[in-house]
Amino acid sequence: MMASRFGIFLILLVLAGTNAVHAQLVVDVNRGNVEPVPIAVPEFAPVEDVETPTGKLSDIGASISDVITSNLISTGLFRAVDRNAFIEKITAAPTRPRFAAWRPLAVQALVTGRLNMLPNGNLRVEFRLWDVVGEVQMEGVGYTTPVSNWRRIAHVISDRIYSRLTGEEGYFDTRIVYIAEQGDPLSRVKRLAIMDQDGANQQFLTDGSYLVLTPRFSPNRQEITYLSYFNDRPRVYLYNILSNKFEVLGDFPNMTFAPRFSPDGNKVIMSLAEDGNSDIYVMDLRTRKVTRLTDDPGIDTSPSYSPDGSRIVFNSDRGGTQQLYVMDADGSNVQRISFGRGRYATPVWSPRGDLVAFTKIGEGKFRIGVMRPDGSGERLLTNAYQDEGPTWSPNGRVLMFFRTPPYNQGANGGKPSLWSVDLTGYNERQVPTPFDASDPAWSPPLPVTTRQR
Amino acid sequence: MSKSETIGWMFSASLHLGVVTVALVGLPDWSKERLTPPPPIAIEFVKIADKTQVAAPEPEEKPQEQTATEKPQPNYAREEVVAEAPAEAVPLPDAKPVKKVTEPKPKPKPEISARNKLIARTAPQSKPKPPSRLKSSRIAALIDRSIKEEQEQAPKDEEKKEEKVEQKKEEAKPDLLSGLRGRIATANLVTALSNKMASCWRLPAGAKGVEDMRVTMKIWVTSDGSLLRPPEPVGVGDINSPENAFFRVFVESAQRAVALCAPFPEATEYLRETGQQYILFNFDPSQFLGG
Repeated sequence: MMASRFGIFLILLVLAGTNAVHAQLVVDVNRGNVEPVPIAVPEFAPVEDVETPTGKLSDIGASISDVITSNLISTGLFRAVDRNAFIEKITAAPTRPRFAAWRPLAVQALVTGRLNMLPNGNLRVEFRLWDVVGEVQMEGVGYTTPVSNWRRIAHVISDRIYSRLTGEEGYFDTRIVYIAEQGDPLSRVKRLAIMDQDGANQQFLTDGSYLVLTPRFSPNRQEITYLSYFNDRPRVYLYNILSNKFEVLGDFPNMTFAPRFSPDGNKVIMSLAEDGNSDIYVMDLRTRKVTRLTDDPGIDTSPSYSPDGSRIVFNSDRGGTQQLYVMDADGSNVQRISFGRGRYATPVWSPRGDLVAFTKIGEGKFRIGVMRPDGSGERLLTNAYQDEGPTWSPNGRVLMFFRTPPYNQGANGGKPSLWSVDLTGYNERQVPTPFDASDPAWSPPLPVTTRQR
Repeated sequence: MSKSETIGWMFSASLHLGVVTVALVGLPDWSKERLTPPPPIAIEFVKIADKTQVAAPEPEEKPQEQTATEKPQPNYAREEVVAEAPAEAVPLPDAKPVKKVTEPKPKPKPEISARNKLIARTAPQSKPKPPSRLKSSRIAALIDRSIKEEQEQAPKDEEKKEEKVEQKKEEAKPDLLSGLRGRIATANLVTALSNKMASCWRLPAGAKGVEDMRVTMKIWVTSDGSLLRPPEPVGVGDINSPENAFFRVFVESAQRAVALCAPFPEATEYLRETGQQYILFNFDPSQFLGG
């Protein structure tokens, strides 16, 4: 009893003694919020409001601002502040904004811009990104382009803003190639179509007289590879968007799934069937030499390279059910990575390299999910009736896929449409297309962006 | 070699032979030739630009809905508000209708005894105020007098206070919990600052490797808690290099959080008492983002 009292007394003495010693005030901040950043994008102001072949310069300035705002909001990372609430009117004068006028609106990032027509008829667009809290300019870039190209410039500026505020490359100056579908379910007309990532500038690349399937973009060139039944013969085509030329890679009558490019764009990997058995092959586009990578009685399909080209993810039923496997680029060292309930299909390695996206089939649904290349950290990002065919944005943050509602769900039953979802799974949006759409494939950034970086 | 060994060798050899035979016959894949890849086919250029690059029919452009909710203003002035029955003459201010004050119903008078009535007649209920005896000529003398009285009283009060303090000092025992109390107070301050900063910090969630990033911000505050100078990240190196793009955004998010959360008046007392110059904020999202 005495000993315990003495012990308590000693502890109190020690605690009392510590009063004299004041440690440095250190505060651990282990929490935060992930709410969208408030951003203001006033209309880009013309130096002189002249009439151009595309319209009045002030209208173009307003449209550029609209496109930038739309792009940034679509990421789910930013929230646009209502323009009606703006206190300061941004003019073309090259002056700093009055930050005090933006702080009451809780604006953290402000984008200002000015337009000017050059003597040669080109449009000069300048923008500045301001940190309203820190009262500093974060970015300031000018572009010169034909006036008709204003929309593209808006995407390029969006990329710069996104890159500066998030630290990763933007994906707004990109395109989506997909299959546009029309007609009855039993006689669908399928055409290869291309559009900007936000659904603008829709164009058809084929006329629908023959079936096209599973387009895939080259990761570093503006080239598409796709499967087409031209004259009822399945052929793999290569289409260069910039030169507008088609090229036949080869006749592959036994092809079971779409070809996909290697990261350097010099190879195409695909699955071919023989005697009812599908295996994975790779074709060198320079020598046209085809090499077999897997030789298993199971069905091996949907191969996709890792960004460094050293490994390949594919799905196979060699273990009894359709699961995901990873192997080295030469076909060795095959390892199963998916072990969850249900089946796994269409794996696609992220351009970042840190994740593999897939379609998970189970519980009566097709859902889009991601997992690490070692199979850990599996997460499902969507939860609709039928979501499939994921494709990554070039920065590896957003996935696009196509969603097909069940047939009993009103007029849109069975009609596919394009959707996007980011890695959080919360920012799910429909991508507008004029017709039904399936099989999207995301392009790499268009050349101007990569040249600027 | 004994007979049993010979039989054993023969048995073993026949078994091995049997296994090899079964393998060759039963596993046809061994003998099957490896599938040859399909032969490459010559390249063929197809120019179908004119035929296939059909522009999509442009969907009808919907007129942009005006988001502004302002009601359309009429282009004519509103009618002047006219009184129903205009008065012929403008009434004078005096002629304002006097508000009828509805008098509250008189409370029933308490029954007054005859004795009380008599008292009321003889003695007034309240004394009339006497005229002020304060004369301006005497104010100065009054002030001097009050000062003298205070001076005489003050030493006595001080003596009493000192006596009380001495008594208290004698009675006071050493406060063994004062250190603990100080620690609790500091812990409360740290928790309060942490919670405050958490509400201001917008995490760059989704950025590659953000769950493994850490940054310490050094903050100098004035006596009223406002920032003495911009917050300084500690030991981050060159964050402007391209390979540190994600980390730069992370550091900037912490800097922005500090600027948004300033001032920090709750910390000024602690800093003054301890003589410290700055606060260190460790931004660590690993727990929040599940890193």
